[in-house]
Amino acid sequence: MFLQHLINGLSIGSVYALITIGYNMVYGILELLNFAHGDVYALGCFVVLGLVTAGIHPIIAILGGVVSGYILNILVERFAYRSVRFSGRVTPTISAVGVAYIMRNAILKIWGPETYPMKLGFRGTQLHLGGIVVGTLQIYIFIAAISFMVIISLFLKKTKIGQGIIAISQSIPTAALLGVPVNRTISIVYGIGGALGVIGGILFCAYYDTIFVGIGFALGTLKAWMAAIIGGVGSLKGAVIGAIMLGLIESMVAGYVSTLYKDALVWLILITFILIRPQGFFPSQIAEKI
Amino acid sequence: MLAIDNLVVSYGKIDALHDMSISLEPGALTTLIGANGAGKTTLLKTISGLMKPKSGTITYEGTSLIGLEPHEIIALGIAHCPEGRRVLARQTVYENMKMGAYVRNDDEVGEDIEYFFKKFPQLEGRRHHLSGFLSGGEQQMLAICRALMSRPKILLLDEPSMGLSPVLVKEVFKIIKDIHDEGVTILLVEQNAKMALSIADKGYVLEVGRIIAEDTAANLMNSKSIQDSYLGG
Repeated sequence: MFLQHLINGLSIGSVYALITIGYNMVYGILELLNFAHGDVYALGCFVVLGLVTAGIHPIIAILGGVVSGYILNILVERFAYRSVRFSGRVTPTISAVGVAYIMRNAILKIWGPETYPMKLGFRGTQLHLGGIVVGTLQIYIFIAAISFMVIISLFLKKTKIGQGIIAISQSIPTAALLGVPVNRTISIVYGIGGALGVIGGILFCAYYDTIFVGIGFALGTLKAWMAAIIGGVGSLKGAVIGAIMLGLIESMVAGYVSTLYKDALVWLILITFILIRPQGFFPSQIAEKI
Repeated sequence: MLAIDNLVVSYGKIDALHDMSISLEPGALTTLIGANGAGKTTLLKTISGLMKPKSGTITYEGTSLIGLEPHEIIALGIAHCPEGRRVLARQTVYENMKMGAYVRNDDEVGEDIEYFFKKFPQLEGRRHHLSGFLSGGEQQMLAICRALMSRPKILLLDEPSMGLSPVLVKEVFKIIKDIHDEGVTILLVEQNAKMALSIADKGYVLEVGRIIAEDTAANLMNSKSIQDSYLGG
């Protein structure tokens, strides 16, 4: 039984990881508490649903959803965040809450509050190994999360744009003086964040075979926050490890204690964790000397 | 080479620079001295595009810089080494140097980094260290080398001696003199007026947002009133 919970926890944790990587990149660059992250990618996932329902091949539909997440998040940054970028912390956060509601209402307007089946056709098969069941989809999700973490890390470390992103996340004026085109670079980060969110969201839908409006905030933004706090806010490695731990904790609590009170218990564990280690497992290594 | 005319820059309703005019001659080392709050940093920030002026003109080799973004201005050949060094603490020394060449697209960036590492062996030895862990003097050297990595025609230096020990101050001023000897046009902002005037060709004295004196560095050094106010008698 324990192994089964472990496998389930790992795979749902991997889904959270993809969502959290996107969230942490966006948080890392502007330290904006992005309330809208989940609702933006939820809309992207509904685009996938719309395309699949229209008879388009799931792979192309997913690409369409990922591209729409990319574009949508760039537009959100451009119109809702850019002009309030230097207005303290509260104003951009409120702007983000506004965007979250607009996205959610757009979904409700077009698709309503119903839960839809999400038929993407890659449910895969079940592998029976000893007493436990592993879905091939679970394996794909795990591989996807690790691959994206590696790709994004390499992108940040090895490319010029990636280094520009890291510079902006430390100081916007310094990056600007070195020649980094600040607005364009921030747009790219939001785009990538939105695209990764849709990938995570789609895997979530694939895992549960369903899609509904709640996948954005309650299952996306909030989980990304929790995972980021466990792992270390703004850190990619922290995002993945925090998310996988969150998945494991949820799976163990649901398996051994109570499914009904799972959320309350998980939050209780999180709050206890914050009290003991508020900086998470992988905080940024050094504060900037100014 | 760079001409600033009738520049007015304000923070809200308060003018930080009043009707300022300054010109930089090609290859010259010009210094701007003055007390804290005189507007020296504001001027540099306005040249490099971090601040927008209320009125006036800034012209670089016939092109107006007004309205350009910082990344466009450094691409034209004006590098700004900011006050307080501002090294990118979470990136290594090597990565900081590479960031200095962000606007370049040639394939000689690696060679240039090795050139500076040869000149400054302390940096070489710390190539893969995070620059947040460097000492103040090392950070200042890194900040200057990083600014030079863009191969600027004009280098704006803001308080390079700030927070350094007297020995290090001497060393940094020697570096500035070397850069000047290599033909880079420099605008040096300093509170350490004596040191600045000793290596400069020309100087401006700034007091609460206005130029109150402008002359060759040698003449300013010998002026009685400048000596009394800025050179410690």
